[in-house]
Amino acid sequence: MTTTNTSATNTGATTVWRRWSAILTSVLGAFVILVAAPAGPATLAFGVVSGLLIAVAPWIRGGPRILGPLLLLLGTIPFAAYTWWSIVTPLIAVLALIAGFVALRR
Amino acid sequence: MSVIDSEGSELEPRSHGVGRRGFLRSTGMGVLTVVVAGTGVISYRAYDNRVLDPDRGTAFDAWRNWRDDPGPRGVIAAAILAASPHNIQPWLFQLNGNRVDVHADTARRMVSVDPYSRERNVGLGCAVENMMLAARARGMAPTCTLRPDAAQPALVARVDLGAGSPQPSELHDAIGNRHSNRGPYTADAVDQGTLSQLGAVADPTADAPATVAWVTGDARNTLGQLMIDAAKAVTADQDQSRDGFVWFRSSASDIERYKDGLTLDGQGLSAALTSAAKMLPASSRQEGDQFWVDQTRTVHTATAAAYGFVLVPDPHDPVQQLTGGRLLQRIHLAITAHGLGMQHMNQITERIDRDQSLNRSSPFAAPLAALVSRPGSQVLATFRLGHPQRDPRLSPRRPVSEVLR
Repeated sequence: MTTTNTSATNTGATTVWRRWSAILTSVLGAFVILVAAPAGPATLAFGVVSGLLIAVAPWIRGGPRILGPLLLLLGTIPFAAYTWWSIVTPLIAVLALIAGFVALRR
Repeated sequence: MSVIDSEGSELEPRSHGVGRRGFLRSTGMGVLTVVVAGTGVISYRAYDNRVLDPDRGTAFDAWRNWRDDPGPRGVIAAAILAASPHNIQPWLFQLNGNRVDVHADTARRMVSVDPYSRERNVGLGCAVENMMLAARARGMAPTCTLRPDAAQPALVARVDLGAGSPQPSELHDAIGNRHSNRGPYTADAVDQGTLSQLGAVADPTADAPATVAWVTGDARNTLGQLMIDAAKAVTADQDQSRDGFVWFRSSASDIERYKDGLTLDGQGLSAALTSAAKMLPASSRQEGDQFWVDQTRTVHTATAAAYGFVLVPDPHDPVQQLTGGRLLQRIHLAITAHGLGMQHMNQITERIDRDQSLNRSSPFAAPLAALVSRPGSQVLATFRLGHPQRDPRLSPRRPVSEVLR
């Protein structure tokens, strides 16, 4: 049936987009770590933790629904605020929030 | 096949709706993918240029460890933090027991910008002054002889480090905080009392005719306009433009490799603007020249609270250049100790020397001389000062191990 096929196609496409946006989010988390890599110990540690939170947030399954968005917010906002003048970290944060919430939408 | 809703109306085939949504979703995700890829490039630039922590790296270690060595090597560690034109660091040191010979590194010069080695020798004088201050603070009793051997013109100073008692000083403590501040200064004036204190820092033991004069009030505008015109003339002179540009380090890897020269971080821009500039492609010589002229007009001269001249009878005499450099360094350290900012601005004398070296009269000579109201004195070096809006950044430095002969 066409309707069934369309529905299946729709579900399949949605899964692909969510996975792709999750991949993009994780890549953005890696960018945060890259930008922080040459910095001093405190900023480096802050950047690594933030980047890891961003990277894992869209892959969270199970647990409270709030967990994924919470990790995403914790990974993006504080580090971007701390290093706002760098321009690049706020840019990454905005993109990670967009891609991350697309990936987390159920 | 048609789809009929509960009220009997024929609906759009669902596949069309999915197609539109799918198209929009694909487009959105495609755009996001492209933007993320672009962000990857920007992130690499930020990583490569150390946007988040530009003062890390071995090129800046000299600022952190200059007090560590209590001996003669520590005296040299203080010397290498001195001011020098375009941060070319034109020095080499020879350590023999308690004697340090200071040599000019003749490979480090800007021929068309500094044809009479005025600025290079001023920089060497600055290094000598740091040595004297550091030696006294370390309990030595230094004596300095400028140009001790006429047969060796590159041997610019000999400093003998005798035994003494420690003499810490405000100027010595300021060595690690002294930087050229090319950023904007506030509208607050520097009062006459402060200028008098700054002018009184001449070393009484220095056998020098160097003095300082201040330019305040309306004369500031005249001098500022001369500086703008001189900056334009320097950039219009291809040789001077090239000689200056080769000392600009536009990437962190170049800064680490050469550990000298001018950097984006040293331009006094806001942190956000500095970050943006680092992530953009490196600017061309022409763009850099235009940036400097614009900064001279809109920031350097527009926000200068006052200017200072270091005056000597003959600015082409090497000993007077060195002596004037020593005074300039003391003034810069005193300005730093007062919490003020200072920037060296020598484009006018660079143009005068350039014209003289090409046997032509300089349009800047008479207007500059008119601003100096001290008979028998000429301008050796010029600087601006004021209350800085931003803290200056560290400049790269070659470590002691790289400047010892």
